[in-house]
Amino acid sequence: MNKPKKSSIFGGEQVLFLRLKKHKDKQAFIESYDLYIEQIYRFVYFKIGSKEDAEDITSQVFLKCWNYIYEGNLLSHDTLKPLLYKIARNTVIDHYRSSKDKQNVSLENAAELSDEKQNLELGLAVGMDFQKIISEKLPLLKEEYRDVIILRFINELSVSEIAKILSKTSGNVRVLIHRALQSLQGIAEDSEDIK
Amino acid sequence: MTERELVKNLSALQSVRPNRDWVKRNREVLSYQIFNGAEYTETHLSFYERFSLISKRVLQPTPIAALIAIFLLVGGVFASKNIPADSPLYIAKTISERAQLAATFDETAKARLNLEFASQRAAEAQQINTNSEDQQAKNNQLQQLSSNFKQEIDSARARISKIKPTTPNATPDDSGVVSAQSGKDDKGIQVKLQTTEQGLQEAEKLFNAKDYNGAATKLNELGQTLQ
Repeated sequence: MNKPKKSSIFGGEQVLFLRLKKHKDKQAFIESYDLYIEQIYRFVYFKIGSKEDAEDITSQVFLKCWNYIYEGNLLSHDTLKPLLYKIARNTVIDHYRSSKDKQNVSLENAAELSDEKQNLELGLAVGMDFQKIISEKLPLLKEEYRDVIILRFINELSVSEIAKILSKTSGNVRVLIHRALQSLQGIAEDSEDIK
Repeated sequence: MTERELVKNLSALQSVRPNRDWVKRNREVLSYQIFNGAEYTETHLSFYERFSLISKRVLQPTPIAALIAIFLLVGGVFASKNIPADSPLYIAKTISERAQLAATFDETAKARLNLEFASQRAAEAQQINTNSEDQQAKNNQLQQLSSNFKQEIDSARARISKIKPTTPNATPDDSGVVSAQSGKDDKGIQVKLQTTEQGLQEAEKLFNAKDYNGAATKLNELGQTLQ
């Protein structure tokens, strides 16, 4: 297998994207995988709540993305990141649908199926109380709210990047972020009250 | 939990990462799937592609830079109008005038600008003549202003002579019908050109006779009639 090449001085993401767009450069795609794998996995993981499913879906996302590029559909895009997130969102939706059909996993019980080891890591990172909120309550948030919470506060994407992913205006995204945060805060406070 | 604590806790979730072994394994599988046994041929971005990439990065703040440049240019034009001929900043006025001429493409508008600048030279000469006490410096400056004044007048004259009727008149041989209007436009323009030429000559005479205010007024009048 070819070793990944370092991106040039002109700025990694743009050069990679240009190599993909103009030349469908396979090596550039592998380098893009190295660049985005962690954040795409994290996005999927916090939407699904299961490590195994997150791994499966993330693999699918990258393969789907390559097929999309290979078919020459990249011309209307200007960076790869929003495209990867869009594919990830759609793949997660497909996963929900197929899971619903099989009656295996639903949004409500996703937390119960979440990986124990990963939960322990989460607990160490943010404390067990907050880990519980994220594992149990985040899936209860509205789909759009959950997306912006993950994209903005966990993966730390800019408002304009989120706007591209969600196909909304920056103003709409700001409103969405504000409401999502309020909603999550309400859930977190309710959890504290119950205790 | 305050909003700040919530955001801090969410940010800490960045530590969630995929299993390294899985990442490596998946990378190999992905490579196999997309290379499909084919050899990798390295691609090189062309000079144009690299240039477009750099220019995109460099020119990103262009709208703001362009606004600042326009603001400075417009501000500079207005500010430089009042600089007297004996000021060390007079060069800024000259540059601003050249820039204005370069940014104008219509010959009539350029001729109007030449008349305006000539009028300003006359006004500056009047200012120097009245205020300057050092006789030698005064003569030198007046000589320079006189030379500039003549240059502007000559440029205006050359530009005005280029202004011709744009509607060609049909000749009797071509159509057999002669419009009642034909020839009138030409005559009107010729009369107008003659009047302008007379006006320019009068302004020059006034300037040479050191009636600088009179020359400036005459040129302003000419500028208004020039359309």
